[in-house]
Amino acid sequence: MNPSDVVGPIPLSAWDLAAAAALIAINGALSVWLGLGLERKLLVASLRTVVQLVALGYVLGFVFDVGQPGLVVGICLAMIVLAANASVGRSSRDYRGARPASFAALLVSAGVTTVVGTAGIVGVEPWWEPQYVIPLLGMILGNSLTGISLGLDRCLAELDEGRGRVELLLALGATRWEAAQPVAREAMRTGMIPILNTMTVVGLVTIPGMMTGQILSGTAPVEAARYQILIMFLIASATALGTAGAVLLALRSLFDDAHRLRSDRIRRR
Amino acid sequence: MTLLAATDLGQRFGDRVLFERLSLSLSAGETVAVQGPSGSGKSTLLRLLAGLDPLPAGEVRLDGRTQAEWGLPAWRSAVRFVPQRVPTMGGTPAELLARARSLKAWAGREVGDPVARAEGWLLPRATWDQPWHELSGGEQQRVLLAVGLAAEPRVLLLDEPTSALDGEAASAVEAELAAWTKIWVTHDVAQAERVADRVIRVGAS
Repeated sequence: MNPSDVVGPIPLSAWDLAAAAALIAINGALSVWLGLGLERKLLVASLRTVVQLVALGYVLGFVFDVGQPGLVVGICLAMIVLAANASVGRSSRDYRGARPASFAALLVSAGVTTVVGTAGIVGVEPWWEPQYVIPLLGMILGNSLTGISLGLDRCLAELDEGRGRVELLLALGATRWEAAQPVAREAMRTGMIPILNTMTVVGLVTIPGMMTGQILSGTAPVEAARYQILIMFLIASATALGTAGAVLLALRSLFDDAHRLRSDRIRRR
Repeated sequence: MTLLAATDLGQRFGDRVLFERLSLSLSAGETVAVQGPSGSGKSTLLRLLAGLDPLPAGEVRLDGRTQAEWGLPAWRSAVRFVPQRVPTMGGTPAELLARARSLKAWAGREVGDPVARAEGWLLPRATWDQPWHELSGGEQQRVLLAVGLAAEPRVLLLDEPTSALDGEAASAVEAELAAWTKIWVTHDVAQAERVADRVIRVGAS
C-alpha cells in the first residue's frame, strides 16, 4: 500500500497497549533498582491513565450517540466545576468564595470562547455538537485553569506579603483600584506566562497534542496546523479572560467598599 | 475649633483588649503625643484614625464629617498616616512620589516640593533616584515623611517618625513639623514633652 493512501487512523489493539505498558514497566524496574521509591506511584498513575481514558472514551461515545443538547451542556458544566476546583486547589492561600469566583470566571471565559470557536468560527451544526464542543472546551479549560491558578496565587501572595505596599498607597489616598493595580498587573503577567511561552515555541520545539492527533488520524498537516492555530488563539484569549476575571473577582472580595485591604479574609493553607 | 474628633474608639484582637472607650480631639495646630508600651496598640490607633482598619466601635470625624461621609480616599489624603517603616518594595522613592502624584485624591492639590523639603532634613536629592533597598532606615523614613507631608494633608498621624534618625536630622524634622496638626506616636518621653501639647497613654493602664 502506498503511504499516501493512508487516510484513517490505524486501530490499536489491547496487545499494542500492553506493549506500551511494558515500556512503563522498564521505568518501574529502574525505580526499584535505584531505590527511587517511585514504583508505587508509577503503577497508580498508569492504572489511573488507563481507567480514566477508557472511561472517557466510553462516556464520549455515549454522549455522541445520545445527541442531547442538555446532556452536552451538563457535561460541560461539570467540566467547568472540576476545573474551577482544580484552579484553587493547589495554591498556598485562598479566600472565601474563591471557588465560585473561579467557576464564574471560567464559565464566562471558556464558555464564550468555546461557543465562539465552534458555532461562530468553525460553523458547527448544531452549535452543541459534542464531537467539537467537548474536546475544545477541555483544551481551553486545561489551559485556563493553569492561568487562573498561577494568577490567583500571585494575587493573594502580593496582597498578603505585600500588604505594606498596598496600604502605603491607600494611606496616601489611593482608591482600592489605584492601590490594587500593581497587584493585578503582576498577577495577570504571571498567569499568562505559560500560554505565552507555549505560543512562542509552538511548532519549533513542540508539536501540540491536538495537531499530532489530527495528523495521526490522517488530516493533512497544513489543515491540522490551521486547526491548531485556531485552538491556540482560543486558548490564549480564554486564559487571558479567565485570569483577568478571577483576579478582579479576588480583588473585589479582598478590598471592602471603604477601600480597605481586608487581608484578614485571606486564608493560608 | 475642633478639627479631628475621635469618640469611644476600641480595638481588640480576640480576647485581648488593646484599648476601649478612647476619645480624643485635636484642634488646628495642636499636637497630641501617644505613648504606651510595645504592642499596646499605638500603631493600631493610628490605623483606625486613618481608616485602614474597620472601626469596631465609636467614630471619627474631621470637620464634623465621618470617614464614610468623606469617602475613604479623600479622608486618607486629608488625615495622613505615615508608617514607621517602608515596606519591602521595588523601585525608587522618586517612583513612589510619581505614583502618589497620579492619585485621583491628589488631583488639584498643591503637592509642593517634597524633595526640597527633605533636603532641609539633610536628605540629598540623589537619594530619591536610588533603589529603596540601598537606602538606610533613616533615609527611607525621611522620604516617607516628605511624601506624607505632600498634597496638603490636614492632620498627620505619625508613627515614630524620627526613630531611625540621628540627632541633627531628628531636630530638623521636629522643627518642620512644629506647625502641623498631628498625632505623634513616640516611645521617647522627652520627645513627647518637647513636641506635644498633650500626651495620651494607650494600654498598660
